[in-house]
Amino acid sequence: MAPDMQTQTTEAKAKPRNLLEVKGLKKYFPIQKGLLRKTVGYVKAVDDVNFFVREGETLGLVGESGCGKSTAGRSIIRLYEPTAGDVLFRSRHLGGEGNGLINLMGLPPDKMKTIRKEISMVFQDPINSLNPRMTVSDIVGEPMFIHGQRMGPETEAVIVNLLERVGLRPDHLRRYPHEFSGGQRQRIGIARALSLNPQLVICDEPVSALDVSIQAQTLNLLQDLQQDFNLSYIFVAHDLSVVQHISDRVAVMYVGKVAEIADAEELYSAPLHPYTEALLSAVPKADPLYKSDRIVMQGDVADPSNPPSGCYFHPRCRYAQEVCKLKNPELRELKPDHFVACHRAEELKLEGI
Amino acid sequence: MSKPLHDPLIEVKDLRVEFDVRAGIVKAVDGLTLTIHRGKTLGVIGESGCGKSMTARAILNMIPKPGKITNGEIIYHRRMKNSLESQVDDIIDLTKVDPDGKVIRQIRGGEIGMIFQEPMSSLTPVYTAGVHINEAVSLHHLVPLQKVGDQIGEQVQAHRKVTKEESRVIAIDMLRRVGIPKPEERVDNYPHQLSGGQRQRVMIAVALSCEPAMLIADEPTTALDVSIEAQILDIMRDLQQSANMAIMFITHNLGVIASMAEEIVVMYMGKAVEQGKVLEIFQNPKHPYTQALLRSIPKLGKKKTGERLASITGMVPDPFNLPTGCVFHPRCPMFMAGKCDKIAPQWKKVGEDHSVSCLLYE
Repeated sequence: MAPDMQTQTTEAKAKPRNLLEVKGLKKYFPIQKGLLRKTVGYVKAVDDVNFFVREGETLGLVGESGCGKSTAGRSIIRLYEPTAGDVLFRSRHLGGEGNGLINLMGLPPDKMKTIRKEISMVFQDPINSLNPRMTVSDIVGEPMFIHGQRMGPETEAVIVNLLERVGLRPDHLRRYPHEFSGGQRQRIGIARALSLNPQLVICDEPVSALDVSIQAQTLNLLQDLQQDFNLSYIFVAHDLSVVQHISDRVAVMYVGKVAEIADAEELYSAPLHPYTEALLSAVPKADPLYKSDRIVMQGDVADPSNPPSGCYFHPRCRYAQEVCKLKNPELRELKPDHFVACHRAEELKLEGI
Repeated sequence: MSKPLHDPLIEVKDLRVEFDVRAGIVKAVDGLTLTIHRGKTLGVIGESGCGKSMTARAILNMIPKPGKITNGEIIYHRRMKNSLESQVDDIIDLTKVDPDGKVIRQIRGGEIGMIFQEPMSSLTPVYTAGVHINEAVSLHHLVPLQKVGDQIGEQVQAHRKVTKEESRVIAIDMLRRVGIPKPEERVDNYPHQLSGGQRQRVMIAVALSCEPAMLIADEPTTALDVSIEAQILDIMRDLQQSANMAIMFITHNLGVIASMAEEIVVMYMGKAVEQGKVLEIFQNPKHPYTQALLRSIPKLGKKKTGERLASITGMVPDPFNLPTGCVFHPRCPMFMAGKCDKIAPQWKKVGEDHSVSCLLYE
């Protein structure tokens, strides 16, 4: 699918430029055994993943646990060094050749540091992702300090401004993380992510640990900040309703591969991949009258160190045929902006919500 | 409050659980009254820290220190498993029994099973799945039968030690019932060899192996994926039907509760604020807190671009410094000055099987 996913500066006028393009991203974790730590196999956490993020949009990454969605997010900023693949990014500070995209793979550490100003992360666990011995001011200011700003009244003014922007008070500045509730801690994490004025924020399950009412507050905050700072998000989550709410486009992952990418509305109303259909049907609806005709997926998620042959989903797929056992389906663009990796995508009539 | 219409199993009356810590007294559960009926599912919803889990622990009389049950009673209508239908239930007040005594140890796990939220930390890493189930069976399966002296045949069975082979068969059968593939192999697996969903199913198998009269499920699917969650909810529904088991289902996931519960209690800061049939609560919520909770979840399939979620303003109050009057008033959109901050609301019946504790309806 590489050619049709090139930057669409000329053809697509209405659509913003691509900010990030991920091509053939792979992350294999070695399995080591024995006294000599001999590598006996690989966990293919991310296996040939392709997607792109446009400027100012939110791309949701969903899938069951262990499908590699978090690993994919982390591999983009090389928190995990990817095994293979290209990550092209439109940097403000470093110009790339040609269409202005710069390849983050193989970038020397000093340049990578510059890129980290522009891509930041919000982590899932608001308790463990904040250092308990640092004050809020230290936590939010640390990225600025690392990137060469001196700590002083001016920096502090920036920090106060950030705190107010995420709904915390200036008098929280000298407090420690344990003095805050889960929702407030996640706000601190968001303020830290925004402190260097990034273009892209990778949110790794930012609301999974929060209560529903706090989750709603945090989602609203993320949406407000996106508008004010013209941010792009990669939103990794397993809650399909949250992802639908916040995303412009959604990518569904299964065992290290992208099964389907489409506009959020289209993906939910007219899915093309049987896995998307089954996932959607399994979501419990907050309506007691709703009669669920849930599609039962047999068995468990495939083992990424020993995936099945052909399409990884075929042992659980109710539409599987002979071809699915033999050939691994390519991700292809079936409709404009709707990519799917399924041999039978054209003939199947799948139901959305 | 609501009169028991069916066959009550647990009646919690004006329960208070307090934690006396250095900074003051935290009222974890503050005057809670509810009834759980045989064969029915009661859903308990609310934000973290609202006292849902403490209520469950109070029923099993295992409040962690320094917590104490300071008031109220928990009436357990105990029915011996092998007794005849006509036999009158034993009435036990669970708050009065010795928390380390023989009676509660029979009830805990044997007659009232519990599934905890975190399947990894609630299973012992050094025991296989089979050992976990057999432990529960050997602790409980046979002990309550000893007390029933009416049928000799069963007596004999009860006193007979289950052999190793037999207990293995029981364990494999339980694993099969909760839908674990290849139970003959899985029975010898340690918890770390199982996936999250499988571990949670082992937990359920342990809890259900003694065929409890009631199952307390404390956020049983929160850590799981939707596909596994749906499977586990199905298993629980099936087993409830076949064994006429009551379920107390604690969660903050409103989607799950809509499909599981018949009746719902909404809790806020240790108090129940609204109680009613599931349909009533979802279609006709009365308490502003319930309304806000229902509005704050993203609805699947109804997307408007740029739409914002209705969130509840403010934060859960400081437990040492509770607001006066109605505890929800600082966050309430319907706040009536001079009323809500002064008067504590009373229970008010607003429909058949639907009560609310809010001054709007008084």
